[in-house]
Amino acid sequence: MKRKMAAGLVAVMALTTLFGCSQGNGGTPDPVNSSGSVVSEKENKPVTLKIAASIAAAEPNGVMQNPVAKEIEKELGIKMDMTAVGADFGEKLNAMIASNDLPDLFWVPDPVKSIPMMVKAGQIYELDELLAKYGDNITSDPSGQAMVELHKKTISPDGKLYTIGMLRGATTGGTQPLGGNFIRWDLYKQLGYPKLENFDTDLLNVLAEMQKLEPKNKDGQKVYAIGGWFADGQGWGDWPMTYTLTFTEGKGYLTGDRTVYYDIATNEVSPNNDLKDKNGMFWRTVKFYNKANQMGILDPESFTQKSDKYEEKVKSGRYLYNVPGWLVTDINSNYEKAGTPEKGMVALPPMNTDAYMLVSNLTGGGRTFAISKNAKNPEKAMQLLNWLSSYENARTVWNGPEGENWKMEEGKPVPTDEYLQQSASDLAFSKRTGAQMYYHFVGFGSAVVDPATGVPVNLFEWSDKAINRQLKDVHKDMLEHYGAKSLFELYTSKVKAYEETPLYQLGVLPENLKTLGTNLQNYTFKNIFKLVLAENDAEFAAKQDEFIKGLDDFKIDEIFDYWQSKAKEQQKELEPIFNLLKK
Amino acid sequence: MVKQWKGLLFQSFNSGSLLVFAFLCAYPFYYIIINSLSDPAESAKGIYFWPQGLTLSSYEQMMQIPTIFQSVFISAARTVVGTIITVFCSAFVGYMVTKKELPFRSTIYRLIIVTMFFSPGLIPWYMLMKTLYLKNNFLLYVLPGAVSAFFIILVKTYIESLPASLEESAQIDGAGVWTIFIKIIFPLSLPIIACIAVFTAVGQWNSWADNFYLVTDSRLNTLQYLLYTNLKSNMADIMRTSASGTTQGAALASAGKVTPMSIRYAITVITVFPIMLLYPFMQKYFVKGIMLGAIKG
Repeated sequence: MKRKMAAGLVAVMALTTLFGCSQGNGGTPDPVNSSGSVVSEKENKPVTLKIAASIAAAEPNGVMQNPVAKEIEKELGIKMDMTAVGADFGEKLNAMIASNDLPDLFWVPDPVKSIPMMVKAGQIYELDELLAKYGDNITSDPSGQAMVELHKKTISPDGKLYTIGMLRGATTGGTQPLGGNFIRWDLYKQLGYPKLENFDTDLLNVLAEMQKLEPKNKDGQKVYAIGGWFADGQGWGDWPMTYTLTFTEGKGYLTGDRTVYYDIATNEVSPNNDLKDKNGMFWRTVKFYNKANQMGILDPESFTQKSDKYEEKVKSGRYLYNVPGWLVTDINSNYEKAGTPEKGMVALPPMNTDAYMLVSNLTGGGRTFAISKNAKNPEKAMQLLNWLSSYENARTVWNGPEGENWKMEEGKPVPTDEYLQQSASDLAFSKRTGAQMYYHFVGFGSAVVDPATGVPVNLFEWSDKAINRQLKDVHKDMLEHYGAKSLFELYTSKVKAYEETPLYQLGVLPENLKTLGTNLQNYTFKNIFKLVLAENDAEFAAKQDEFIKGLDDFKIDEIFDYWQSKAKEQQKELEPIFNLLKK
Repeated sequence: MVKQWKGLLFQSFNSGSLLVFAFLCAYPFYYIIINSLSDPAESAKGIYFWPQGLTLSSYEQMMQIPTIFQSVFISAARTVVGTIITVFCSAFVGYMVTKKELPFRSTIYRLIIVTMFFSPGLIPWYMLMKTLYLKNNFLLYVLPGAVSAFFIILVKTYIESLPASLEESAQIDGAGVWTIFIKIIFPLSLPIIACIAVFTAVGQWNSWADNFYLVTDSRLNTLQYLLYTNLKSNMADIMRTSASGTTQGAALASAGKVTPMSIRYAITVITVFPIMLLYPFMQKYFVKGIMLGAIKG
């Protein structure tokens, strides 16, 4: 017994020591040296940078070995020791900040909150000097200049630069909006292209006709023109109510309570409180759903189903109208799989509007990075961010080095056919070629156009060849119907503005209004669906008046005044940045 | 005759309701298994009794996660090593606090109990682990849980219920503390030891938070953490094409409904399966073990 016990213990200890030794590579880089000659000697020796960023999980954490990482090592002498982090990194970062255990270069998920903390604790480098010395790609480009200005104004606690925004600019190439009026174009075509010039009446009438034309789907299930996922929580359950018109008419709400918006065409802040304006976006959308319900073209299950059910129904052809653009690829490919490639959804072009939200421009960058004082070579970290911020290198990061997935042909980068046939989520492919791996750790967003070539940096998604591959029969027919050459032209040619530049950050309400503001949102959310269920126009009007009257309980005017004046203040403050971004 | 009829009625009612109850308990597991084995598209429509479009594609997709086999090994190793360490240490401390000769015995015991009521919170824990050099270290998984107040109470109450004369007679025969613990107390406490072992093993197998916070070395990732991040990364894929941070894109982040349900089910099956195999065999020790020390005669 004793011997067995002892043997067991020895085995346990052996195992623990075995693993105990496998501690991370604690290689300490040399301290920064100011003497020129020594630095140039040092530059030949690769420096390891610890980086935390959200990247594809194609390679295990540690020093990256894919072709893009090799290229960086060759050009900059930097070995990237990367840790892949996800949407929950914020939680972990808090613990890291508290124990001063930050990596050299890291993503800051909530910079407005955490940067002042880290600055106060002296945990991150001030970057103005480093940027001036090593950041020529960033400082020479208008998008980089705008990012720097914006970060100084909205993130920095003292007006100095502490963060660099990556993933700047457009993330979509403008072939379809992120949200909009998507309809079944094949049915519209069968109806003989009836009049469709506005959202409030024409669209409903067309949808009602379409429902008559296709009352059942392939499996014999009942088809409704419109569906919703109202049983989901606040913010998501009422998502189409909030966002449909902001997309199709180019106005962005600045607050969660839908009181203040701005117009992307003029950059003007709304003069009226949208919750009280009966002709505003909010009421027009609620009225739209109410009318649909009255006409019998709104799925009654909308009120009890959540978005997963909605998604399943819209993908199996049980709805003829849809707002979330990111579902449309799947919807259309499902029609193809079902042997009906002639069917499909497309986004309607702008109707009666000066602005249409087609492309989002992330001025401050989709991902904010900071350099910690733990970094022994902060200049290397800045050099890396700068390297990632040239158009040429961004193309390399998105698509892998030239030769494998793409080639230069007559001065333009062209993706190979094999590359376009890859699945974007094929991890083995990403590891082998380096493509699509650092999609959150690159200077430019997917669809930013390289001025030297006129081609967006992500060739896999936005090169002409890639876009043409995605054109379905319904798209071709729509282009022919409207006489447009490309989808981009169709959506942009008749409006003054099609790019959203989200710069405003209104923050939170002051203490005396905070609770009221939260209750206001609850009140609105609860009442929207009662309004949609109103049985006739008279009942709707009565309920509408009652709702608007009830808003006063939440000091609605005070809240609106606060937001509006704050927005106007920011508008003035941010004007130089808007001007920088004007093309 | 009436009596017989009544008995039959009772019997059938009784077995009927027990069968329904058993079905209610087992069905969720069955539901998860058949969904994980079904075609994702069919699964989205709703599957209730038989798998539709039988396929292993969800499992295949998971097998493609890099380092998944390594992580199975790590999870198994932490379960085995962690359980052995916890059982041994908790049992020994539990035995020690029963010894009247131990100086400050009651103070020590009370200090141990206090840890059940006060938790230091995340950040002090993180800093402690870092200071103890447990960051990126396998020992992080097995050492911090070595001694647990709850287990010590269980063991202590159990050992106190053993007749003191057993120990005394051993002492007369010349046995020291170690010999008594290993040769007498430990074997006699096997029911409670088994109970602790199951608790610990289940906890170790399911745990991923320590991995999330303190381990960045991929070679040390646990299976649970790997599956967890994999669920998340599917969502990140969607977010890269959408514009996170824009006014309109805001709602996308809250959507979180991207991973096909069938893969989530497959992940659930993989994580629950070993525990499901272990439970039925160890279950009898659970109630027995906890109850054994509860009543002192």
